[in-house]
Amino acid sequence: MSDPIEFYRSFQALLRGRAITGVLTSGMACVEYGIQQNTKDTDWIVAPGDIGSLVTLFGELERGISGSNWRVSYRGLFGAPLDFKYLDGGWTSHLAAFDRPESAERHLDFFGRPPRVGETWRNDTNTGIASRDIVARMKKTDRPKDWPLVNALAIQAYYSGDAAAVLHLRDPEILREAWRQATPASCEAAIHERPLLAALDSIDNLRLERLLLVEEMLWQCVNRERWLVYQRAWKDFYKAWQQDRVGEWPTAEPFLQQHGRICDAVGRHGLPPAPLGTVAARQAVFGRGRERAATLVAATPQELETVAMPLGTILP
Amino acid sequence: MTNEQTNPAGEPGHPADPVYPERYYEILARDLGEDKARWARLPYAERMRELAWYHAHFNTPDDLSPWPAELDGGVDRG
Repeated sequence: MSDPIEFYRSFQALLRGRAITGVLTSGMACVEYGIQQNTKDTDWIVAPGDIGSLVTLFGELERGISGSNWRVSYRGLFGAPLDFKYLDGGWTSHLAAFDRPESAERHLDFFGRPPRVGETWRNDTNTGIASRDIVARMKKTDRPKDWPLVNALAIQAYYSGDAAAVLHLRDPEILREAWRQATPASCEAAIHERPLLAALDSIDNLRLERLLLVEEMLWQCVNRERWLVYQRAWKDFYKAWQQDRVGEWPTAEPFLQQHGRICDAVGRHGLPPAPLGTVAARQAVFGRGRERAATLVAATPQELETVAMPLGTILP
Repeated sequence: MTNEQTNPAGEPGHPADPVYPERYYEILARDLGEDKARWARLPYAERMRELAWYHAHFNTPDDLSPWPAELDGGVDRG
């Protein structure tokens, strides 16, 4: 079996060679940071404006123009085509690739506007790996197993002198220590993004742990509601698509034909490019997530008010 | 805030190979397990060599699943 790390590095070199703006993120970035061992998938944030170049690259790789022949295919889980308006609208695209005839199946996932992340990922394009701050934001998912990684990334950020650490730390003692060292200028912006910080000096550790729990649950529940919106849109689209075609998705066709087929289908069957494109839609998701979080951990309105992050932070 | 040290043994392209204070590794051991904490203590190049060895010898699962059964994991491979 060949090495997924070797694969991600060679793919990163291909992106650089085509001047495609992108960074490695999520699990494989955590491998680079020394906090996760067992991932094979590679997740990438790619500038939506460069998605067309990425599609061209895959087409050429499959035709062997740039070296060995790849086999590239969409994967059979819900996700949008590699298309500017869909990735710019918050969708992800999921591909499988074989970079050599005997290679393992590589999974590549692409984000244009990754959840919970604004445009600051573009600052990391020199290193090619998303910063700990960006990866920590992306790891604030509805999967409880991602949360120890958020804390580990934040502790690393703290010991590296990154002021963004206070936005993500989950360990009460280190959070208090980092907060004491924060500059007055950075405090205001940090409180705006993470309101819990404003209460830090006036509560004991037990109370702080309680608020950290409520905060985590809010992130998880809002993310779940966000994800459900995309899933519902995909299911409606897929049902309509299946009614007018025979066979399974993905097809066995070459990648560019697959790509043309799904681009045509999303247009004809109305997969919405940006399901959360309006403030009203994002507010509704936030409201449902907040209600669910309140129920799951019996959070009081005051507790929720203390930890509730602005809409622009959790659903940018 | 900069308690981070730099280990010069990092691979080319990865010059920052920080060694963190002990409590960082204790938190990793508590939250992620002793083996991950042990692996995290290794210099970057050794960490990557160890992973390459696992990938060469075992069909490790994708994403965040545990290691396969032969590596004392695999409870959700079903």
